[in-house]
Amino acid sequence: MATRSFALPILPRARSSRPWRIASVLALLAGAWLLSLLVPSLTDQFPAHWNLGLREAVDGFSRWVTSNRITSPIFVYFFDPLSTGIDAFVRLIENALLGAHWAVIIGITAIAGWLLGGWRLSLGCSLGFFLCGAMGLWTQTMQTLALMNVSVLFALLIGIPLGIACALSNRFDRVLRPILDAMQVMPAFVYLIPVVLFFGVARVPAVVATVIYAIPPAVRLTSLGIREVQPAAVEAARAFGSTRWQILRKVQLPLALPAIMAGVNQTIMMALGIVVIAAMVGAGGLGREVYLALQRLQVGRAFEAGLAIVVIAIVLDRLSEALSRIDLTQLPSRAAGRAPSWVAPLVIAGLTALCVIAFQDAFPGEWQLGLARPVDGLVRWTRDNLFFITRPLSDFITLYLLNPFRDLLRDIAPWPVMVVAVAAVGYFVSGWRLALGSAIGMFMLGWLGMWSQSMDTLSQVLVTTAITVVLALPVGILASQSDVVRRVLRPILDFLQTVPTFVFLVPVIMLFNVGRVPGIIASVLYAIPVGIRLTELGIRQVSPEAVEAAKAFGSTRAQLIVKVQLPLAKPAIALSVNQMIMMVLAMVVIAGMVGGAGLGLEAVIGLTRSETGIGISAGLCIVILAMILDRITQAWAARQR
Amino acid sequence: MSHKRLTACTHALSWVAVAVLALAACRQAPAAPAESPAAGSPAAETPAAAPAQPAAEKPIIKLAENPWTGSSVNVYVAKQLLEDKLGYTVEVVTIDENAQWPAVAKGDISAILEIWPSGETHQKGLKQYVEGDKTVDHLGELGVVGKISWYVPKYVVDQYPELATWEGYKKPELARLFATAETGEDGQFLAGDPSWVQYDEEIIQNLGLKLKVVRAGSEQAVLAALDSAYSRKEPLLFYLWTPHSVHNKYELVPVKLPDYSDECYAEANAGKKACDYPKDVLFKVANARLKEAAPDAYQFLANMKLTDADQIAMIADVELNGKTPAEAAKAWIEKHEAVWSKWLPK
Repeated sequence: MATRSFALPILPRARSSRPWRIASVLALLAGAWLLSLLVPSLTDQFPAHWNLGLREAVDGFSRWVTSNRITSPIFVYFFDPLSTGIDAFVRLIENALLGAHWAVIIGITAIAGWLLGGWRLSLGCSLGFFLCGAMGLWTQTMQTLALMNVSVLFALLIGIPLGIACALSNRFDRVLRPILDAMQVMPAFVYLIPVVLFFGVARVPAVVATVIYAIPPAVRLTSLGIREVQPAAVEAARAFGSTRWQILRKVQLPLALPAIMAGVNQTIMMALGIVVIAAMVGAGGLGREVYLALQRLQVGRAFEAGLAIVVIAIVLDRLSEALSRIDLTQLPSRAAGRAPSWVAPLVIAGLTALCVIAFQDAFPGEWQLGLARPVDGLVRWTRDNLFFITRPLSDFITLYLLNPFRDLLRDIAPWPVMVVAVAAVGYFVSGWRLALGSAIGMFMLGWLGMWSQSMDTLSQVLVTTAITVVLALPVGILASQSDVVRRVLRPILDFLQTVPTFVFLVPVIMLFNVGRVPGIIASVLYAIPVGIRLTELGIRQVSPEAVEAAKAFGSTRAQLIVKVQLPLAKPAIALSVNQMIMMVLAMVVIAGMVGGAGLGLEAVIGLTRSETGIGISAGLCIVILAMILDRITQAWAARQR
Repeated sequence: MSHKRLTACTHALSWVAVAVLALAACRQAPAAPAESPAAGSPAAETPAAAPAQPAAEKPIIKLAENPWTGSSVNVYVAKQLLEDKLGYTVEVVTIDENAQWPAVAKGDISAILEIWPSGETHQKGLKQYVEGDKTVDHLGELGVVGKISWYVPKYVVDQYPELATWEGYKKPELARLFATAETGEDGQFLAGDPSWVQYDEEIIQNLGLKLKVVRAGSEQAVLAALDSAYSRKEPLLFYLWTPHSVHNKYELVPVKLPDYSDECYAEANAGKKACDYPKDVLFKVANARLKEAAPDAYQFLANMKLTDADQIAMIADVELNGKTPAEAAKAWIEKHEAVWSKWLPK
């Protein structure tokens, strides 16, 4: 997600005609408003009879599927064997992981860590898995790990070839890009029921849903990696008479390997993001623990399971990162100083063997950590002692930010005015193409019959993003100035990014009351790590010469930040705003589960009442909002360069 | 240099892996833990338990566990009896109650033991699968009777006795006790899980109550809001039902609405409902092919019947005594042989 780049047509702007264009846009807005005054019947609300009828079509299709799924050949000869095969594969891995002694799993992880990165990585990874066992979640951790492994494998098997195809064919790339965008933004809730219709319950739909969600980064980063291979290298290979296949295999793929590995890493992270949702269709594992614990308000238990998910994420992240750093095409200078050693793997294997002999197959219960109780205590304490701050804060956000803004977008501004206004924004940041695209997108929201919900959601998304930006920028700047702050922040940000958001929902409601605010708080927590990281990265990448020059002229630290680093980091910061909006949009459904109303609630209704038509419509509206906001902020970010 | 090192590493890794796997193999493949849905090992044990029956004739029974305690204890009662008395292997599939219908119709789930008729999905499921294409069989009532109500914590009624009945909520000064930033002047009525049949907006409008519905979006959200309000003794009015494990933790009082009547819910009265919710008679369903595949299990599940008291006792055992649903079910089975022996097919 972090490395998306969209090529947008940015037309050359003629500065002199700017006032004229502003005037014409204002005239258009006024015209739209006038129209809505003259024809109120058409413009008070988006005309219902313009509805596309997508909902009915989807519902009709799902009725066909449910009544034909036992007899139709497409199920008997395609989906059913496919499901059976995937199920057998997952069970095989799961039984292997559960059948092995726990110490063996930890030992293998430790050796892998040592080989890829050294003793620190080795110790960290084995301690991580040990922690999962010590929280009494060994079985569930292995089940989730099996599911992840299979899903990530499939996602890569599909994603990498697609990425190669995207890199080689511009046309294919153009066709696939919006589909990838949709796959990434479409809430998994929306396609969960259809996936169950086609693939049954338990492990298989979980794998399918995870693969859908995790493919886009694999495709994007593979394509990006191949496209960024130096043209000179390709030219040289061609000059020596290589065929296209040889160029791809011997030159482009090896040189793109770091980017592809980054894609693998992102794919793993995405896959872990869906663990809890997959539990709703019977996937079991850690997601089931979170899901059951939350239903009983056992925040501590949910936290433990969430922490185990974080541990898996961090272990796999660090291992795959280390793997991508081992540059297979060149001599790894990093390892040159170290003699090949058998000692460490042998010591680990010996320890493992000792554990296997000394302990039971099941993870020893007496090593329980019991994190749940203190966490529950902490939640109770915050509920009892922080409420006097959080309630007024919540009321303030609702009354003075959310309500006026929602009323403006949804009730005060007639829909033609909103369409023109959004198109105008598109026009000013980019040009007529983006303006047209945005206008069509806005129309689609109405055509899908979700205008007022969309405006409600849009107002929440914009307020949430504003709050996130205000909080993320100072922290990002601080982290860029101080290595200590950065080191302290890293595990916290990792935790926030990977812990299932469901875990915060209960405490957030306890503190902020049911309504739109708890959703906003959860979204801020989810989106803020990206904002902080990209801001920090942007500032740290400001060229050292510029900083040195400023210092030589006697700038104070504050001057340095305000006058040099921030202006030069503007493009990166603008990009971070784009990413934060996307993260906030990914949380719309979660917000719907805690009283956020709008599109999120419609998507939840789609899932919980098996109203696939409503769910798909709401999901599409979220995708459309995401695309409009993404293209506009991308174009705006590009202008900062 | 690096190639050598890599080769050495690969060698080391393979040696270690071989050693470790050999060790692991020496210790015999362990049985999968009871909670795991892995089927491999329990399937291997079944023929030993019932040597007369070839394994192929005993299909694996998959029971749906929904994420609430009542559903869990029913499933574990059935699982333990089916395994110990009838020699089946039972897998528990934890699943959302709305995702389970296509699965039971297809046979990915063999049976569901606790369905609440008020859920909209369930009405559709009955129509489509039980009456429609007959891929699902109705297995009769579970015996437990549920009831949806509007609830307030007891301390609210203690302080304002008028709020025990619906008339109290017509008074703006009383209704305002429940107001929040989202509802403004009116009181907040917290509606929960959107999958449930909810006529609250209709009822509020037709009875002229000074309330505004806030849709919480999930059951957890309602429970969390209740926990928070209860800890501060704040007023809260919300949609919930009984039996529910929450009644073990908080003292809640149902608000009296005009009595339920069939006329009030008649189709001609659409949009004009102004009375209480009907009782929910919980029921069971099974995949239609289970009848031939496993007739005795089918008969057993059809016979299975629990009373409110049975289920509430097991729920309390889980919620208050910290047992797992499986342990609570085991304790109940030990004490109630007279009840469950009648479920076994003759």
